[in-house]
Amino acid sequence: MVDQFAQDLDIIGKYRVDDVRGEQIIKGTYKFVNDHLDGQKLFGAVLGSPYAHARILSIDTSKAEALEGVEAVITFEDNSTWSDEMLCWGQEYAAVAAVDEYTAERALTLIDVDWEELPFNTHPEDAMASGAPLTGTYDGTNIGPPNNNGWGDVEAGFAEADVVIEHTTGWSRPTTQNTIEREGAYCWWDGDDMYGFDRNQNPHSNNRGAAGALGINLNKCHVSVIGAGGGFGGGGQTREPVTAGLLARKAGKPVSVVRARRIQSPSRRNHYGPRLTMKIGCKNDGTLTAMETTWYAWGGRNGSRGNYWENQDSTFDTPNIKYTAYGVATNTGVSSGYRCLAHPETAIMQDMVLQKMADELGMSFLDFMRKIFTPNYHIQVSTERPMSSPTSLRDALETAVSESNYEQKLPNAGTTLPDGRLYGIGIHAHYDRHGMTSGGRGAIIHLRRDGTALVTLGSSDYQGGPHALGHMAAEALGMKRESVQIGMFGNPDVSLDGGSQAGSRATCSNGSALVIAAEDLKRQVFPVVAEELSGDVPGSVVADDLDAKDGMIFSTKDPTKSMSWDDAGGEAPRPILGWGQSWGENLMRPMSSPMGDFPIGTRSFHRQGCAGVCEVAIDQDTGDVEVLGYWNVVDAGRVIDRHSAEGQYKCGMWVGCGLKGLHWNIFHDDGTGILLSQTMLDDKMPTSMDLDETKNHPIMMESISYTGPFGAHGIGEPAASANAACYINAVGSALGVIIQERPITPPKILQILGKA
Amino acid sequence: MEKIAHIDATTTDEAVAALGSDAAIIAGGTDIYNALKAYIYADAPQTLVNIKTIPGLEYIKEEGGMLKIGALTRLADIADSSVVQAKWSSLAQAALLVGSPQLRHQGTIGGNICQNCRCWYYRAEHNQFHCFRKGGNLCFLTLGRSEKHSAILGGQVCFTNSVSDTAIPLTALGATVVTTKRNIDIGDFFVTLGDILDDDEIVTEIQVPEPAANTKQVFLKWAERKAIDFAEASVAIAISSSDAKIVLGSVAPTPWRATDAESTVSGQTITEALAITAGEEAVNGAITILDNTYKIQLVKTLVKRALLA
Repeated sequence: MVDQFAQDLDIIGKYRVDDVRGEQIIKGTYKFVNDHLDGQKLFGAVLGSPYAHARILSIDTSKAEALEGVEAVITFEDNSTWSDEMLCWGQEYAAVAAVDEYTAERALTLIDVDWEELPFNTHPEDAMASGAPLTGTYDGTNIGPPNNNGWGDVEAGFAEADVVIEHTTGWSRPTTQNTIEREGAYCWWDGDDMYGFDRNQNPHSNNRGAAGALGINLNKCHVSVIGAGGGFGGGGQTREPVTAGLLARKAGKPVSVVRARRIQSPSRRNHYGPRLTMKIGCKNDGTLTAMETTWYAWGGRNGSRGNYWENQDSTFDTPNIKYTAYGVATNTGVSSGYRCLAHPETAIMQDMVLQKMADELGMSFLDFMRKIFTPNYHIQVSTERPMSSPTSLRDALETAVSESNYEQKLPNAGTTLPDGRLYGIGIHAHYDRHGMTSGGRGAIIHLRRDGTALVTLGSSDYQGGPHALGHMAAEALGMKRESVQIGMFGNPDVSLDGGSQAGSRATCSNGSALVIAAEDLKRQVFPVVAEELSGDVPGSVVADDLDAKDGMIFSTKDPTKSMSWDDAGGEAPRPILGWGQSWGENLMRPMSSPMGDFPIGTRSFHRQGCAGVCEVAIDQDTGDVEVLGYWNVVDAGRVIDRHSAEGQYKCGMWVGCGLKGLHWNIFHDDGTGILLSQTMLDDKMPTSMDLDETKNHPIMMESISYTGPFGAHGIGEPAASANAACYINAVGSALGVIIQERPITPPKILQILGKA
Repeated sequence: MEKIAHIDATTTDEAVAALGSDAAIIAGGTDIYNALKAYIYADAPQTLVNIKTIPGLEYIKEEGGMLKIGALTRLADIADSSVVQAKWSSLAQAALLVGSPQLRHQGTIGGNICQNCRCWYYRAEHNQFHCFRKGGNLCFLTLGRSEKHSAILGGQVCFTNSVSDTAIPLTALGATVVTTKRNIDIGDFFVTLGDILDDDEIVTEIQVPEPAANTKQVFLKWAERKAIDFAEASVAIAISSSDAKIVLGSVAPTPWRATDAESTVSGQTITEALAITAGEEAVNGAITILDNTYKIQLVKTLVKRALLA
């Protein structure tokens, strides 16, 4: 068995694969779902609600059906995932399939609806007010049931404290997580079986959902992910296969459905805009005695409450903590996590309170963080389970401090630069839960006759997965990297359930399954090879003595007895399939560390430390913010594919800055609830001219994690959340005040400066 | 986007004949396609008349003390032109700041000055806000979100802003818009609801007189991002010893001459104090609506910086 935790490996962290697909996407030649099979299909178009809250009293599709070229019309009465009650503008309720997209779009305008307009809320503060109109998400209220967590006795902790402060911050605005490609599906029927292509982060789950909505058995539903494109947390659940499938069944022809951007935006998951109240108690020396958090998430029409707990449970060294989270329903688009969990708002908001406490105690923010963050090798208080890798949050923080010269630069915060701009510097750190090892993932490796291996995964191919997973398979098999092909992704018919790719789990979760599959394959192949290598002396070489490395299978007792994988593929009986399945409890090795030893099977909590420092210069006459430097440190675990890891990490930093600094946003007209930001032009992802990449200093603090395969961790999300928070803190240090509502826009900065 | 007729015109006469109230011109297509796909029109055009197929409308030449630019000349070519850069530098600067490289290689100068506004109420799909610009009796910017795409100067019934970058230096430089019917001083070309072109009229050429020797030209643009986005404020200046033009962009429904500021700096040596004063005078008469107060500060800053550049 390969020593996954050896200091040095042959392929992991060393091998580079050119990103062919990335180049295709950049050049515009990549084929997404609906770029396939043009000319053989009908075109679907979807109709969204013109009201923020309304009920359909009657619907007449006869004129649309009569339009020449229209071949199918469906409504909420046909589609079980739709409703007659619209909870936000743009919510889908009807669709048309026609010979071309023009006819389909025209037919939509011919659908007559008798509406009952209902009162609505577009802002959670209004929705929470006494007597507010009900948004329709929950029965009799706009506030969802709480999620409670914690340990100890916070009241006792506050009583014990020398200083107690409480602060509320928010609301922040929801943000979009659009991808360049639009959502869509392409489906057709063969008898009672539906086939199709989709793009999502969870192929098996989506296929199950489609089967259920269509009322067919799962073995009749065959929707594969193809051309998944970007995820960013919003590609988890898609309903397009249901819409396309219903239209295709009715028309008796293949149907392609692509969501218009204006329909996609309110239906796709937007990031919550939260409000946070945090109460903390400290001793005069900064020791935390208690922490109580109440979090309201601007949940949109699904009222989602989000999850802040899984960062809070591990970042702070406190004996008493209480956490309560609510989702507030509004008649706006669906809300959920962006790049997982409640980031980056929680990171930003908690810093606002912590900085107040630091000021109250007369400590620097940095020294206060040093005091209250959990120590190295922390064991989670509530469960006594291991958490983190050999490096820690404190390591990340100190690395960011030293690499950026933070302490030397901090005295300059708020001063004026020679060019008249204000200088600011901000810091942030927290434990982040990403890239964890989740259960229920499967992988199959097929050893082919020429000795090459074909990997089949039930996951989508987001997040550079093909490269990293190919490295893992080759390393685990002892094959040459070129001999491993990552074949089919996301085809539920031929793969094991690959789970969701949310939270950068592909490498850890699917990688675990892949490593186990590799061992399973070797268990089948090695006896055959041993028999062959024994030659005239049967039993002289036994399978247990075999190992594989660099494309050769050899006896560890007599390395002259060896066979290439190429030859082994020819010798082995066919078919040889190795399969593996990951479980959440897979702790890959016992740990000998200050944490103590935990046996294999102990569930870990896989928190990774991340920290960032940001320097900015603010133009006092325009409010423009220039990033002078970014240092972002993340406990990266073992880097599997350096090229894609760096790309993921840099992207996270970029997104983090854009998310909260450059108004990446959605806007509703408050009077009607209509989404105003209906195109990508309103999606303010920073361009390369807005952020100078040479100022971006990603620092992957490499370690060998206890939990992931080959010691791997997730990478991308921590960079996003830490960067957003330190950017906000940097702007705050320059202005002398933290702007409470994100994103921080130049007009808001000008207001702070008394110029707008 | 609905199915509409598409005519490839080969002459301006052919194009004019095909035009009418239910037809629209397409050249680079960066504005009209976007508008059609977004269903912004109350009454969408049924025919697109493609003038890109008309030969001879894509050129940059200096002739008789005049810069002449064919209406189909791409913005990227204007930005790159050594002729334009040499004597009409503010126009080259403005062309270079339009959108992105892809848009500048596709979009034309004619399309850039004739493009539609970006008001998100006006552009909301399927005429969901039947605003004054679409024949209604209300400007929704005055009631709703006005931080973007809005005017602080010259608003009357419609308070959206002009969005053409190149129109601002062209106004400062005293350009003439040549059409299939007439020559129009660019100062008369723009009106609150767009331009004065008839339904069957096509812009064929832009003429810009050669500025007086030592004319100082600057174009500055402020947008949310440094690329792709439309301006929320811009300024073009053309200052010579005898004349001063200060034109504001994206803060009024049309390019806006800051005449008070022009009077202040005309014939004067530009000092920092004078530049500050001119900036303040540039917003004389400004009326902000709801969330666009910050544009006053932007205009003051841009004017001051342009004068001191």
